[in-house]
Amino acid sequence: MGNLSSEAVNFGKDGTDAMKRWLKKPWPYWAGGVLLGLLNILLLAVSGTVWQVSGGYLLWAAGILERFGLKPFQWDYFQSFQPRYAEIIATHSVFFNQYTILNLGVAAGALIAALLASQFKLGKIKGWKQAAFALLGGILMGYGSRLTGGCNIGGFFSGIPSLSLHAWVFWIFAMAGAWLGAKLLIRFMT
Amino acid sequence: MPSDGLNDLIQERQKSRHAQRKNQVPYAMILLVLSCVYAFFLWRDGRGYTAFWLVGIALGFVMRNSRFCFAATFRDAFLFKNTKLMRALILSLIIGTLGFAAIQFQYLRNHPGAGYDEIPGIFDSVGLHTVIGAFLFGVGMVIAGGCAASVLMRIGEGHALPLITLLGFFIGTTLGAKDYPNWYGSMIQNTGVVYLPEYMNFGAAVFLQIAVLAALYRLALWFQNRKPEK
Repeated sequence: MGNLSSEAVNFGKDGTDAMKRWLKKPWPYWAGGVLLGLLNILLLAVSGTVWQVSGGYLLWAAGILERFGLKPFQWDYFQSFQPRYAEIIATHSVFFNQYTILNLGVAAGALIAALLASQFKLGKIKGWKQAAFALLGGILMGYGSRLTGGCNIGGFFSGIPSLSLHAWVFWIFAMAGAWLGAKLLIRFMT
Repeated sequence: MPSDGLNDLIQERQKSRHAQRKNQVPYAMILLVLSCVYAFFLWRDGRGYTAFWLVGIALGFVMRNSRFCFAATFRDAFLFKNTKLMRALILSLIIGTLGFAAIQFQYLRNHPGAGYDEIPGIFDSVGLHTVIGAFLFGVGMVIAGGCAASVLMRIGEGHALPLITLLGFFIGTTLGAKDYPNWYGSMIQNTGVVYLPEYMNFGAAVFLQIAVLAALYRLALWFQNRKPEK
């Protein structure tokens, strides 16, 4: 502790070193949790919209299908969730809207953090098994998120503070699913 | 213990993070400047996207620096009896509840009788479809090694695997949206949103939720202390 505070007082090289260590060393989880909660409140207060991820994915995916000549935006789904998507579809901003910009921001923020810590590295895929699990996991998450009105962020992390019961049900059964997922991982990956 | 193998797997997945590498701070600075320039253009554009961009960056930055991962929250609790991340998540939800409640309370006072599309927050019908969807999501999140948000975070870190997960997400979400009418007909149409303050006093709903979250925090703490960490 004493070491840390003296570093904070000593500017110059010591200060830079302390800064570097602060960026490299993982923050405690509780600090991350507190900040994520506060940022979600900030987003709601400023924009009127909560943090959500999968809506942006859906718009991207549907936008890609549209490029291939399909007409996904005429599906019943988008009629059922009109308040959320109608304006975006009407203004042809499927790739460029609040949800996709939020997603790009998250990726950009992580990239900045990784670069500041000098820990950015282009990863390679190790083996088809891992790739197959990644693909299958993505499909399950994507499909599930259409039934629950959002992913673990919109449907749960923002849903619980919204005082909506669906988020509590999501929490319980996502945990049950995670338990099964962990069993599957042990069975097939190790 | 069966979870040892899995632990190794997770270590393997994270190993690349610890290797020594060249100084990348200059690139970070360039990217920061570019992000600010982009924020300026968004602000000029006037569609209110600036907040989404800036808060998004902050969320990604915090997630990466605290290694916050929702998939790991669930996984670690079950496999390693480690609830540190789970407790951080609960703390986050308590803070979120207080903030959202203040915003909602203010809004409802000025707009009595507002619908679920207008009340600040996110609402969805609750029923068997929530159960099935969440279960599928939970399985997918753990076998993919990341949730919808950490996919974005890990793409930002330079990983290739989450790109495949993202592709899977696109496929699954499209299939889910296409199938939606079937689910709607069989189970969703008779369900509705359950917004807690409609069933009790607003303050009581907030108090009850916080009390439950606090109890869960204690439970998570007890769960971890029950067995000493190895």
